[in-house]
Order: sequence, then structure tokens, then C-alpha cells
Amino acid sequence: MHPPFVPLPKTLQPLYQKLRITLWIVLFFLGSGLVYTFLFPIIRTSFDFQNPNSSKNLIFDPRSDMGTLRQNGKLETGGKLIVNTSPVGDFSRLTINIDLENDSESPAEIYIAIRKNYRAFLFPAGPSVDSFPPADLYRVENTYYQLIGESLRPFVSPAAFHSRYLESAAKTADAAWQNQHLVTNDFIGFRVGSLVSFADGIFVITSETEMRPIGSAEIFLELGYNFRDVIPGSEEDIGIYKRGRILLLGAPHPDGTIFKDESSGTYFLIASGERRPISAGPYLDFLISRIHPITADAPNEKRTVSCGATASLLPRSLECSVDLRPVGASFGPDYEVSIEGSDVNIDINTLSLDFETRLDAANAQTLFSKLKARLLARFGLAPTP
Amino acid sequence: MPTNTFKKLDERLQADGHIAIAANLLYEAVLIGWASFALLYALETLLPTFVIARLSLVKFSVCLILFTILLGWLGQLGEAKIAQTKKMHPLLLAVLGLFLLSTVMLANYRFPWWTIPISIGGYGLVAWFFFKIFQENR
Repeated sequence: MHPPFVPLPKTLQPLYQKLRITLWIVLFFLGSGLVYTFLFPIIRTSFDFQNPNSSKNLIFDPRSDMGTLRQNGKLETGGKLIVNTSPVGDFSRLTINIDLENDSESPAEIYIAIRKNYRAFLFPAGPSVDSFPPADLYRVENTYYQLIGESLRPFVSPAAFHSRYLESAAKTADAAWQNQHLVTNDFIGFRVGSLVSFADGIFVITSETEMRPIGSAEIFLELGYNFRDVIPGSEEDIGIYKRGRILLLGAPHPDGTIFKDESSGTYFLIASGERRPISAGPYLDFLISRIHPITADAPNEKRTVSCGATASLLPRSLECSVDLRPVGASFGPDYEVSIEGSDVNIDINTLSLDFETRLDAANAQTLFSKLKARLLARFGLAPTP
Repeated sequence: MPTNTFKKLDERLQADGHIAIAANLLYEAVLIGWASFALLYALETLLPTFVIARLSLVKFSVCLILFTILLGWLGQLGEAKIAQTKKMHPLLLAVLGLFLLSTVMLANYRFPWWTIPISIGGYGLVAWFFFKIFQENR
């Protein structure tokens, strides 16, 4: 290929050629390893209990089974630590690593259970929802109002009204009737949980006063939303809301989200940290005529995998590895990891989760497809949705 | 004592040709390393975060620089003959030319038209300076 960099005596040429072949073989394997890492990466998410507010923590909301925060890493005998993480990808294996503080006791084994779902769909069950929220509704020309006492509270637009009620729910009234009441400036917006588009963004209405932009189309789809449910909004429509933090993966769905349990066919409404079943009837018919419910799986044993973490080769470290294929087909991007069963009090320094991407053609194809989309977007040639 | 020991070791290694073999192998590995770095860097420019999310280009370049320094030292010991290099193979020349052209085109994509000749002139000037330094060192 090229003359030797440093002149070699003829007697050393055969040895040099052999070593050269070895070098090329080593480089070939290194290169292949690199390409493999690029195509099928290991995604690591972790939580540093010494820096619980660090933006590098991609494991969210460490808490007890009662929902109280456990951000100091301390876990008492028999206690439970639950965390969530939402890496994007199709994974075949998860390795859990628990690094203990130097002064922590070492347990013989810790039981770790993993399940995959939408976070909000794992909320505790609440009372059922039977009917439309009660309201005295009127329509004057093209404006809808809710009568509260003697005053009229206007809906910001007909679209906002129709996101909450059927047209038949509003009684028709005239301007003379309207003049007998005080019309407030406190507008009623879209039903909480609605998806509204404005300019280039899609926003989810998270409360009567706040909306949050959805981070990207990829996140929108990962959250199970449907583009056909997006209501085009005007500047006036969205002007009544305060703009909240960007919605990224890892956050639970906001109040008002509708789920459908695939196995039982039951519909659920997320409200105040509860998963409330919606009774069959006009309200359910109305909701599912307006939006496509997000299909989910009710939590069950078959969709849970577990392993026992024991001391690893590294000091003060516990580790176990588990096959994720049984939970791979579950709906939702959120993994919930429960750590419990320690026979001593422990003090965790760092919790790390290594997700290994499944080695198959579909994943490689997905990566190439994403690369193509990013490349096109880089040069302003991305197809418009 | 250590100086004498190193001197003896150096003489012995030079005498049995191990330094020459190590220098030649390292030369090849470093060349491939820098070529890979150029490719990965170009890919990173094209798709920001695609490479650095998986591999630290800073660590990679630090390793390459250290190995290049080691190579220079081995080259001095083994009396390297860089001047021996022949003309490049036309295929290699074509690949390098295409890579260079693509990089320059991508670097200037969407820049105001009047800045493109200035930046290309700048690249040329830097290349000319490097060429002069290389010629003087030869």
C-alpha cells in the first residue's frame, strides 16, 4: 500500500506482514463494534441521589409505594423505591446497577420488578365518571356561555365549547336575554386534556389556565396521541392560557386524557392523579366521538419482569440483568422500576439502568429512517405532515 | 543509572528492529485513526449529536494526538523516511477530492453567495501555508 514509514531489514519483513494483518483484523473488529454501537446503542438512564435535581437525571420521581418522594437514596428494611424512565427504542435487555454509599450496609439481595406502560395508566383507580360536568349552557348567536349565578362566562370559541359539550346541551337565547346578565372576561377554554395546534406547535391543555407544548412529533406519537384529534386553535383561543414547560417523555399524561384498556374494553379518564373508569352512556359516547382514546394494557403479572440484584464485581455495587421481551409489546414508553425487599437499611448513591437495543433489521431500518428524516430536515427538505 | 539503562534499551530495540516494526504499525493505525476521525467529524457536522451521543470525539482526538506524538518520537528513533512517499493512487485521490468537495459544499450550504468565494479562498490560503511549512520541514 505504501512504503514502510521506518525502513525495515528484509529479515523482519515476514514478521511485519503478520503483525500488519493482525492490526487490520483488530481494526476491523473495532470498526464493526463501533458501527454496532451506532446501530444498536445501549441507552443508559440514571439517577444521582447526591444531586437529585440534576438535569442529567433521566430517571424520574423516585418515590415510595405511598407516593412520597425518596430523593435521598435511603431505603429502609422492607421499604420500596419506585422510579420511572422513558428511553426511546425497542429494547431486549435491561441491566440494573445500584451503587451504594460507602457507609451503607450491603444487602444479600434486592428484588427488582419492571413493567412498561403509560405512567398515567398506572395511577390508582378512582371513582367512575358517569356524565357531563353539570353546567347551565346558552348560545347567543355564535357565542356560547355558561350561566354561573347571574353572570355569563363565555367560551373562548365554538371549538372550545364543542370540545366539552354537545351542541344540544346549549339552550338558545337572544341578545335581550344576554343584556340582562353580566358577561365576564373570564373565558372558558377547551376541555382539559385537549390537543390544540397553533403556528407550528401542538399544545396539550393541562388545566383551565395552562397549556404545555409537546416537545416533538416523535414524543407526540410515543405518548399515544393521534394527529386527527388536534383542534386548530386561533391566537385568541390559546391566548387565555399560560404557557407551561415543554412536555417531554417521562412526564405522565395530563388530566383529561382518555385511555382504553385493550383487554377489558373499559375507558378511563385521568383526573387528579387517578385513573377513573368512564361509565357507558352519552358522556363516554361524546368523548370517544371527539378523540381517539389511547390504547393501553391494564397492569398485570404477565407484563412484569423481575430479577434479584446481588453484589457485582465492583465493590458496594448490586447488579442484575433481565430479559425485556415479555414487556416489549406493552403499550406506552414508560418503564416503572420497583426496588424492594432489602434485608438491611441501604443508602443508594446512584441508580443506573442500561437498556440494550434489540438486534434486528426493524431497529436498523428505524434508525436509517430517522437519519434520513434528520438529514432532510437539516437541509429544509423535510416532508410536511 | 536510568539514563544508561534507557540508552541500552533503546540501542537494543533499534538493533533488533522492534522499534521499526512498532513505528510502521503505529503509522498505519494513526493514519486510519485520523481518516476515521475526519469521517466521524463530517458525519457529526451533518447530523449534530449523532456521533457524540455515542462516542466522544474529544477523547478520540486526544488519543490520536498522543499516538501521533508517540509516532513522531518512534519515527525519530527509527530514522523515518517520510520523503519516500510516492504519488497517491488515482482512486484514493478521487475519494479524497470528493470528500473535500462535499465538505466544502456542505460547509457553505445556505451561506450568502458572496461569502462563498471568500471562505473557499480562506481554505486555500490555510492549505497553502500548511503546504509551505511541510515543504520547509522536508
